Amino acid sequence: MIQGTPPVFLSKAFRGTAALCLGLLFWLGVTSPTRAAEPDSTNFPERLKLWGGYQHLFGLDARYRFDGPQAGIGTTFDFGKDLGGETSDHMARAGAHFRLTPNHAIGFSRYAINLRGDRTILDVDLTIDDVIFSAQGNITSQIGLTIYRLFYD
Amino acid sequence: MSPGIYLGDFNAEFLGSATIRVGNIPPVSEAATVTETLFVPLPTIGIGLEYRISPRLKIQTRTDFFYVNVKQVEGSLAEFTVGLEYRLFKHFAVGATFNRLWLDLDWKPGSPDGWAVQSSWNNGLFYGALYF
Repeated sequence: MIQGTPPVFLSKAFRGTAALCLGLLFWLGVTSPTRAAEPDSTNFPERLKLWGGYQHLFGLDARYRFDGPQAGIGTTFDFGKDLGGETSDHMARAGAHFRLTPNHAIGFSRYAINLRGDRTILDVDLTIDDVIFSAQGNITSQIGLTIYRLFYD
Repeated sequence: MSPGIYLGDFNAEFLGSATIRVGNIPPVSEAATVTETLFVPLPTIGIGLEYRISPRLKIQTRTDFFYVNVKQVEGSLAEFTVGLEYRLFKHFAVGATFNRLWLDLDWKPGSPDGWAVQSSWNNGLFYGALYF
């Protein structure tokens, strides 16, 4: 993890959301163990699900560090605050869910994030992979992340 | 409990005025571009549940988690999703989900190919689904 920052699973936001999730899972599991497993009374098909839609990403918080062979550990920088990077994006997301048996299924989804930044570095030099971007200099940046997710249910 | 895997294909490009140091040659200042590419497979374990509020409407939630702390790699990933789906027709449904993801990875700190990322974000998804 990035030095000086606590592990993400110790963060207040994560613990709050995890507690909410566990509570919801507990409620669903305790109050409706039979209904959740009931076959659909209207016999809707469930074997294969193909889905796609619009996704809005927001509230991005991103810190990075890239080390190099000469400088060693690079500078930890905040993409939004230090590089003027975008913190929201919208994209298409698509996936599939294939039910092998009534109790077993596999799923897949994919989406791609593309964010840009443009800013004058204010206070300190920024070392990224042995290259030192000088304080008071302008830096433009682009970050892309494609996430593929596979799971078994 | 269900296993899964996240495959993250990351690329970044930084352009600006930079000081370049190569070997023992005195540093020079010039325009520079740094490109980084990473491909990270992260196995996870998760739990998911769905509950039919009515024959056409269901609520679904899922949580996935990953944590590793070995010699040169330390990190965690967690994702929480909750959503509603309504079956408009026999073969077509619409849905909306809220999703939050946390990612915290440190790969070979201090080594020539070391890197670290600490990130989190929210997703709101509106989708249509075909069922067969």
